[in-house]
Amino acid sequence: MSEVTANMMVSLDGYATGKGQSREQPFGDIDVDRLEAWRADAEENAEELATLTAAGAFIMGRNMFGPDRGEWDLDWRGWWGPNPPYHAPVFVLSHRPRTSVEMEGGTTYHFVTDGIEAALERAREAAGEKNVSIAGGPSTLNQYLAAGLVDELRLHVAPFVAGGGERVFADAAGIELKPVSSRTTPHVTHLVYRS
Amino acid sequence: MSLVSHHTISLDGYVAGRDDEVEWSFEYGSATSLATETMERIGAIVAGRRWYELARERWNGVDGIYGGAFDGQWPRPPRAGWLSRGFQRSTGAASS
Repeated sequence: MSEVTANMMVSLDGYATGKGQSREQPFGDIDVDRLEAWRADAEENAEELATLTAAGAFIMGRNMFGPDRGEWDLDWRGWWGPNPPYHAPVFVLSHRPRTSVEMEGGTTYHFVTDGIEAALERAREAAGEKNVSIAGGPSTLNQYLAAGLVDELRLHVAPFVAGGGERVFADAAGIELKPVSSRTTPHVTHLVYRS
Repeated sequence: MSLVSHHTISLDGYVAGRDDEVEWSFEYGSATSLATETMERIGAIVAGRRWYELARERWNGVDGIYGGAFDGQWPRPPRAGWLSRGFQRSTGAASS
C-alpha cells in the first residue's frame, strides 16, 4: 500500500513561509536564500533532494500553487514553468472549482474543492503503488498532520531564525511522531519522523 | 570556558507548558550521550530567578533538575549565587 509522505523546509524556529506572498516572493518575506541554501549542495543532499519530487501524486494548497486569491487568475499555471518538476498529477486544494491544467512532462494540476480527505483519496488513486506526497505549504501540511494522515514527515531544518511567518505544527498539538533519523550537512539538518 | 545553551524542547520548539510543565522532558534528559557529555562539562549555571525559584520549589534546587538524573553526579557541584548586574557579569562569575 502506498504511503503519505511530506517534505517541508523550515527555519530553526519552525517557519516554512513568511508573510506577504506575491509573484515576486513565492515564500513571502522569509529569507528564502537561507531556507533553500542546502539545495545548492546537490551532491551532499542527493538523497533528500530526490525525495522532494519522488511520488506518484502530489497535494498542495492553493497558496503554494500561486499568489492570487479569490477568483482564479486563469493565466497563472503555477510557479514552476511549462515543465514542472513533479511529472505526476498534482491535486491543488481550493475553495473554487477550476478545470484541470495539463502541463508538459506528465504534470497535471487538478483542483479539488471538497476537502483534504477527498483530495487524498483522489491522489491515492492516481498514485497507484507509489507514494502520495504532501508538497505544502505549511497550512496544508498542518491540516494533514492534525488529521493524522501523514505516514512520514521529512523536515529540512535550515540554521537561521526567521522570527515570523507560517509555522509547521500549528493546530497539530498532541500528534504522535516517532523519530527515524537525523542527518546534518553544512546548510541543513534533515529530520525524519513517522507517525 | 565556553558558554553552552542546552535545552530539551518539543518538536515545535517549546521548552515548557503554559503552567511551566517540564516533566515531559525528564525522560529525555539523560537519554543521549550528547546530553550526558553536556552535563559533565557544566561547572556553573546562569539562570533567571524564575527558573531558580521553580527549580527549588519543585525539584529540590539544582540537585533535582533534569528529573534528578544528575543528583550527586556533578563533577563540580554548582553553587547558588546572586547576581543583579546583568548577563555579562553572570557569565564572568561562571568562568572564574
